[in-house]
Order: sequence, then C-alpha cells, then structure tokens
Amino acid sequence: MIELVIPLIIGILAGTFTGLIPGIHINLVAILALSLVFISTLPTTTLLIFITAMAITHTFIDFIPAIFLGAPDEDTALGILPGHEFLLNGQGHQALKLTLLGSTIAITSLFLVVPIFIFLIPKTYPFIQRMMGFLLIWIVIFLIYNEKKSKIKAMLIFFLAGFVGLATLNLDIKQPLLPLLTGLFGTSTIVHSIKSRTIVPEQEIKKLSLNKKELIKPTLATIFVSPICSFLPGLGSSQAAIIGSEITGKLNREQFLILLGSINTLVMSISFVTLFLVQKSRTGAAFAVSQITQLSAINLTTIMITILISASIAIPTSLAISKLTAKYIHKISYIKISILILIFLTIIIIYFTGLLGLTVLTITTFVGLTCIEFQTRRGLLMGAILIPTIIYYLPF
Amino acid sequence: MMKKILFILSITGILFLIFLSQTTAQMQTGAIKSIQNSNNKITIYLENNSIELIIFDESFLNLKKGDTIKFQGRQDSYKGKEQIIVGKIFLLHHNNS
Repeated sequence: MIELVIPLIIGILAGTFTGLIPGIHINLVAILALSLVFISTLPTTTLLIFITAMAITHTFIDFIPAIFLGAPDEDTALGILPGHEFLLNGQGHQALKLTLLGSTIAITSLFLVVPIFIFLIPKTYPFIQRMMGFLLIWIVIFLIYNEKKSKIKAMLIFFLAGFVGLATLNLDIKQPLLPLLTGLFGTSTIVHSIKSRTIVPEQEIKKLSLNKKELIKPTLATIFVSPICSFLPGLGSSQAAIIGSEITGKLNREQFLILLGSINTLVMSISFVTLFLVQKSRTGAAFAVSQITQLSAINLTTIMITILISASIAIPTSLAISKLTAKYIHKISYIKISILILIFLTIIIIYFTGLLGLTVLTITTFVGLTCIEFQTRRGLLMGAILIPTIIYYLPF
Repeated sequence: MMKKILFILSITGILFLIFLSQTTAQMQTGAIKSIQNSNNKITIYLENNSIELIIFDESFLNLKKGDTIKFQGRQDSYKGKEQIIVGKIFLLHHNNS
C-alpha cells in the first residue's frame, strides 16, 4: 500500500511545484522527469501513479501563476485575459475558483465521456488518422474565420507563429518547445505587463456566487470538444476552448474560465485513454507513460483512480495557495515580481537550451508581443505547433 | 508605430532562425550497424558510434545493415541515452554483400 501512496504524494507535490513555476508546461516536466536515469529503475505502477498525479495536479495549480502573475503556459494562455480582468477588479481568487469549478466538472464528466470514447475511437480512428492533416487545416480555418477583430491580422499571426515553429523545430537544440512556447505565451505577456505598469488592487476573498444554469454551456462544450482535441495532435486546451465556445454560443467571462479549467483537466485525463486505445500520446504526460509501458486495462484503471484521488487533494491545495496569494499580492510590487519571473525564465532557457534557445526566446517574445499589439487571440500562436504538425500529416 | 516595429523584428528574427537552422547542424557520416523498427519510428545504430539515430519517417525503410549514410539532425537525450532526431538523411553507399 505504501508503495502506492508515496508516488501519489510525491506526484501531487511535484505537480504543485511545477504548476506554480510560471511558464513551465507539464509536457516539458514529464519529459524531463523521464530523462532522469534512476526513473528507469522504478516499478511501472509507481511511475504511472507519479506521472498521473503530477500531471493532474499541475492542471489544477497552473492557473495560479496565469491569473495572479499573468505568466501562463500554452494551456492557460487564454485564461490570462479574463483572469487578469478579475485580478484588476480585486477578484483573482474568484477567477481561480471558477477554473477549479471547471476542473471539478471535468473529473465528473470523465466517467461519462470515457465509455463513449472507448466505444467510438477504435471504430473511427483509422479514418481520422488518414484525414488528420485535412482535419487540422479545417480547424485552423475555423479558428481564423472566428477571429472577431481582423481575419487578416489573425492569419498573419498564425503564419508568423507557424514559421517560427518550423524554424525552431529544425534547429539543433534540445527541448526546442521550451523557448518556443515560453516566448510566445510567457515572456511576451510578462513584458507587456511590465510595459503597462500594472498595479494590482487588494483582493476580495468571498464565496463564489454563480447561477447553476451558467454551468450548462461550459459543461456541454467540455464534453463535446475535449475528446476531439485529445486525439488531434497540435491542439491544446486553448484551441479546444475556442472551438467549444463557438459551438455552444457566446460565453460570459465566468463561463469561459470554467470552460478553460474543465478542458485543461479533461484533455489531460482523456489523453491516457487515447494512449490506451490507439497508442498515440497527445500530451507530454501520456508520452511519458508510453515510454514506460504499453498500457493495459489494469494500468488504465490505476491511472483513473489516481486522477480521482489527485483531483480531490489538488482542489483544496489550489484553494489554499490561491487564498494566500490573493491576501498578499497587492502588497508586493507587481513589476518587481514580473522582472524576477522574466529573469528566472531566461535562466531556465539558457540552462536547458543554451544561447540558441535564448535567441529563439527573444524572437518568439517579439512574435508574442506582435500578437498582443495586433489584439488577436493568443490561441492563434499555436500555429507554431499546428503548421509543423499539418505538414507532417499531409500525405504529399 | 510599436506594432510595425514588433512585426519587422518578428519577421527579421524568423528569417535569422531559418538561416541558423540551415547552417548550424553539421552533416555527419556513418555505417549502419543495425536497424530497429517500432511504433512509427526507426532507430539506427551506427558502427563505432554510441549515439542512436531516430527517424520518424517510414519512407526510409529501404535502408539496411552495412549501408553508409550521411545525416543531419537535432541532438536529444532519452533515459540517459544520447540520440539524434534525424532531419535530413542521404544514402552514400549501398551494402551489396
């Protein structure tokens, strides 16, 4: 029993730590964890529990730096704008509670979605795989067409991100996604916050008041969209949230935060089922699992139980950390925190990817800032992953 | 004004990255000791070299033991093992034996 509890606790602690580090995505953490030599000596179940607990906890916690510090990873990038609005109105803790509510919906929906998923995917996947490149192109057209402000600017940003992605992935650097995504989503947002001289007001800590009817749209969007994005490569939670909000109709900012929270957690959870069904890893955590073992039904059951337990511990943990942050955030200079985070991210990039990585970080920060100045959706920057993926999947 | 400056910096930066990607990685040569095929990837082991070559493109399936190849790629490490994720690969000599 103890050999099951220890990896669970260590996984939750690791997920809390990685979730709180600004700009660091769980994909990177999972892959880095695998590169540790001693990992290969541990039993399979221990590793499965550790990786699942870390990944699920991370999806709950990673909204804290996104909302309070404006420093997201690519899955929480879209949460910055509504989250930041809440923060500037003294309601940062409320924003986090909404994303947690979403994550809770995701865990509940999981048991509805998984049986349908297990029934449908083996029947449809061979066709989907053949059409993957075209499906992704259709989704890109959908994302650009639904840009409200300027479709030309949206297209420009998407292709700019695509070219920077293609160039970076062809460079001779380890972990090319680290500087690529940190620049596009993390440092660009932080530089913009410093430039805007953001002052954070005192935060209110009160009960969440939400009409139950307001939960219907984000719940439906989560159930329909998360499974699709769980097996399409290059699509993350942010894109799923855009597609989901278009399918269900206009969402208010509270509903959008709930949707982001739920999709972030559900995409991660379903990625393990996708791995079991079609042996494809669509998240870093699923990839890490695929490198450890070929998933059996018993492994999948272990993962599902770990998801449930980790979620039930991650919710009160997130609430406690958010409450503490909300209490003190106005007393600290936001600009000083932002500069510290910027320095921290730069050191991480230089350590893992060297000067070439730093060059990528600088250029992708310019691209991210261009997207902010153009006032287009940040999700379009995922062109950096989508364009190389489309090129890979097209049959010519 | 800011928009234009950022846009120009982005374009210039991307062109610089494309230039770097074409020039930084050096071509290497080696003879194939063995080839393994699994999960949509090909792993090539070279003679007199401990680094594994990883190829995610099935069109290279016609390579065989003893062939001499010229390759270029990105260095990576997995479970403590050094790997090269191959970007470009050319066949120099076929092993006719």
